[in-house]
Amino acid sequence: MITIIMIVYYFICAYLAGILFWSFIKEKKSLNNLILYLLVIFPLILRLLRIK
Amino acid sequence: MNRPLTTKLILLAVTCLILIPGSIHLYQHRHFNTPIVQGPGVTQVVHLSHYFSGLKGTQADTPVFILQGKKPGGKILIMANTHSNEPAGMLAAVIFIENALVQQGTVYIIPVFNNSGSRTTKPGDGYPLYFEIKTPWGKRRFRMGNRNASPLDQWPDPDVYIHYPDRQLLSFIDARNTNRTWPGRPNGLLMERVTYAAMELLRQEKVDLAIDLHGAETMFPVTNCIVAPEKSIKLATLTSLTVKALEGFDNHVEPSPSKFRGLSHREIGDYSETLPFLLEAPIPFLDQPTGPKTVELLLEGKDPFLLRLAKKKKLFVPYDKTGWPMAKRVGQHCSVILELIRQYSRKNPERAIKLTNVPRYREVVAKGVGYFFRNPEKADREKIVDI
Repeated sequence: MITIIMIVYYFICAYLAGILFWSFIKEKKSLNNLILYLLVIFPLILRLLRIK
Repeated sequence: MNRPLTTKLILLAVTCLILIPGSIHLYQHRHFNTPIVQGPGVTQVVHLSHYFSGLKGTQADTPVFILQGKKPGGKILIMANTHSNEPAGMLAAVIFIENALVQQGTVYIIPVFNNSGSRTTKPGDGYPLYFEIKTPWGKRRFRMGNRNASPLDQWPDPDVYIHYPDRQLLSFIDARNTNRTWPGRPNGLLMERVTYAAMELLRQEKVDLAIDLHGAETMFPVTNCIVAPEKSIKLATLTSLTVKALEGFDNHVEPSPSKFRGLSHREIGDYSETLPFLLEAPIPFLDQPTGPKTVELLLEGKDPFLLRLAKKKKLFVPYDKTGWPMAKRVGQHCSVILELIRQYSRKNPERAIKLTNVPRYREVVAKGVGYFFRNPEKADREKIVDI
C-alpha cells in the first residue's frame, strides 16, 4: 500500500513540476514570478531525479 | 519585462548552475561505499534480506557478517548505525569484523543497520557528508549519515506514526527511525521491514544476545550507559560494575521504559528469546548548543560552548578540554560488548561465546581507532565487502 502511495506522490510531484514549468514559459511580465517558479521547482526536480 | 526569452534562458542557466553542482555531492554521497576487509574470523557474509526477502533490491538491504567458531555455543548480534549520525558504533563493528577470531559460538555483525539513513544527510544542520579515520596505511573514508532513513526510500511521511503492534502514537519522523519501528512487520513501511528482518534473524538463528550501538548527546540523561529491559538488567549491571572497576570508565545502567514502544531494547526482549542491550556513548557533535558541526567536532568532541556548560554542571558526563574523542567512544563500545559476552558466557557455559583479538578500551584509546583497520588495497578482492 505504501508503495502505491509513494508512486502517487511521485505523480503529484511531476504534475506540480509540470505546472510550474508551464507557468514559467507562459509568464511574460513579472521577473519576480519567474524567479519564484524556479525556486519552487527546485525540490520537485531533486525528488523526481531521486537526488534528495 | 524586455526580451522575456533571453531573461528566461539566463534564469534557467543560473538555476542549472546552482542545481547541478549542488546535486552532484548529494548523489555521490548516496552512492559512496567504504570497502571493508573480511577479517580471518569472518566465515560468511549474507544480506539482511537472507532472513526476509521483502528487503531484497531495496536501499535498506545491508550486509550481515557472520563469524562462526569451530565449537558450537551461544550467539550474539551486534548492530551499528541504527542511527547513522552516531558512527562510533559502526567503527567498533568494523574493528570486530576485521579482527575478531571466534573460538566458540557465533557472532553476527550488521555494521550499517539503517543503510538508507546512512546515505542521506540532515537537512538544515550542515552535517559533513564524510569523515576520515587515520590509519597506519593512510586514511579511511566513511559516509556520515542521518538518524532517519532517506525520504527517497520511504516517502511520504505519515502525519503521525502509529507504532505496530502497540498502536502508540509517535512523531511522524519516527516512521523512518529504525529505533522506533521494532518489532516491525513484513508488509509495513520499509523501516518496519528492516526491523522485522532483524527480528527474523534473531528468531531463526536463536540468538542469545543483541547489542544495538548508539551515541547520545552529553546534555541528554540517557548517555554513557547500557539500556536494558528487566530480563537483561542483571547482566548489564554486572558489566557496568566490571568495566568501571577494571577499566576505569563509567557506563551506568538505564532501565528500558516498558511504555515507550518501538525501541530495540524493549521490543527485541518482548518479541523474542534474545536478551537485548542498547549502548550509548557520548557524542558532543549531536548536542544542540555547539559550534559548527564539523568533522573535527565529530572526531574530537571538543567544543567551547559545551565546556562552559560543563562548568555549570549542565552535562550528564564528565567533560573537559580534551573533549570526548572518537577513540574513547569506540573503545567503550568494544569493552562493553566484550564484557557482556564474558558475563553471559560465565553464567551460561553451555551457550558460551569465546572470541579473541578485539582491543579493549585502553588499547583503542592508546593506539587510536584506525590502528585496528585493515588495508583494503592489500587484501584479496574476494575478501572485500562494500558497506
